[in-house]
Amino acid sequence: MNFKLDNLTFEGPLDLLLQLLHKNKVSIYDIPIAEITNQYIEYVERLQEIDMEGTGEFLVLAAQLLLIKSKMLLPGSGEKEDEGDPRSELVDRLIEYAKYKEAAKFLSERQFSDFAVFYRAAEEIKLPKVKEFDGKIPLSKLFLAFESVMERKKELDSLTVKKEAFETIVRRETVPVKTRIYHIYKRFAGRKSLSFSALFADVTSRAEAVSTFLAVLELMRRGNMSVSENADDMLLTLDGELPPEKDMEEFE
Amino acid sequence: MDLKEAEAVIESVLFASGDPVSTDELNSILGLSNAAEIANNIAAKWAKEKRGIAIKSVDNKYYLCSSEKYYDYIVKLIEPRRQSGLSNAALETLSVVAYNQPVTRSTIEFVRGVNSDGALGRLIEKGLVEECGRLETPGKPLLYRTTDIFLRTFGINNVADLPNLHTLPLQSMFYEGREKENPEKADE
Repeated sequence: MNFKLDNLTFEGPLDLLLQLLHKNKVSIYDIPIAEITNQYIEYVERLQEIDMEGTGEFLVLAAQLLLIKSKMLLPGSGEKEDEGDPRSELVDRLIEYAKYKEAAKFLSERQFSDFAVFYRAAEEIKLPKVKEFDGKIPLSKLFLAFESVMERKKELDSLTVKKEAFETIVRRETVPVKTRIYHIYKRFAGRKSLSFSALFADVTSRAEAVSTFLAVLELMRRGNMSVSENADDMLLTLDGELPPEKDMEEFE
Repeated sequence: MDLKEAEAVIESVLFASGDPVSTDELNSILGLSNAAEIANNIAAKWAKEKRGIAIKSVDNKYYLCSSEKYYDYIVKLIEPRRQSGLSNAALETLSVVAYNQPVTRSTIEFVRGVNSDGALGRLIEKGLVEECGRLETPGKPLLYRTTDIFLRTFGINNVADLPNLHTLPLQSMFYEGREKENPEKADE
């Protein structure tokens, strides 16, 4: 992006400043700061009228120029003797930028060096990726590799909390409903009915209890079991045969 | 392997590759240590004979290309190229990268005093500049460098062959005290 104003075209704040120096025919080593600052700020103000965006960087330099100007109005504040010319930092930066502008000009003159030359587009060539094993790797390397793997594993193990450490707190086990259905049939063991609570008497875990309950529901859904009330408990009655194996696959 | 065969090998390898082939690769293919010399000889010979193809090298890499002498004939076959140059912003950005690589975006912006994202993007798009890792400082900014395409586009053999930045004449960019007026150069 470049900026255009009057007959000046510039790439940014430094460029504008350089061109103002050129327009005023002043030496970069002895910039009349007051005059140049005024001109610069005038340009920036007009630039803002045209395009507010992208003028932020111009304002930064404007502030820097004003600071230099004010420093120059305070002769020998005496804080530091070796402070030198307040302009020098800006001058160095301007010169550096000017050099890159020259380099850009050098590149600009050469940018069509290659214009009339055609290159062959690289064909897709499959380069061999796998090298054949030439037997040059000593066996000891394999041991070393193995050792380092085991070493890493040991390190990893020492960092990882053992699974057993959790077992007393959280136990996660899966109890397939299918096994509970078998269990229920075993519990009935030829009996016609059994109380609900008796069915759960030998349950050892939450998962087993849930699974047993689901098994009861499933058997009732299939019409293999019915329920009736009996005092403060429920009486379960087993009516049907054990469902065939293939019917229970979904309860794995 | 005699010289004639070595030359033939280089020609065929460069033709087959299309991509630039480095001196090291040529040496290892030939089992020689002077592939560069042989390749340079072929290039010189072909140039002398005004052949239609040429061997070019940038940064110790060789490739085949058409001789620029016959561009006018080539465009009878294909569509002529558009001569679209880079903007000043892109050229300035490119020169900052070329002289300071690897370089961060913020260095470019500091030198130019202006946001250079657009210019840098165009240079990357044209294959003249590429990313090359990150700087190990807070924020890990990306680093940029110029490419082989940059070298061959600008006819520069090596980044070291760029003119010394500090001895570049600062032409009429500004007036030094002792210098007299230099009326030209208001177009930039």
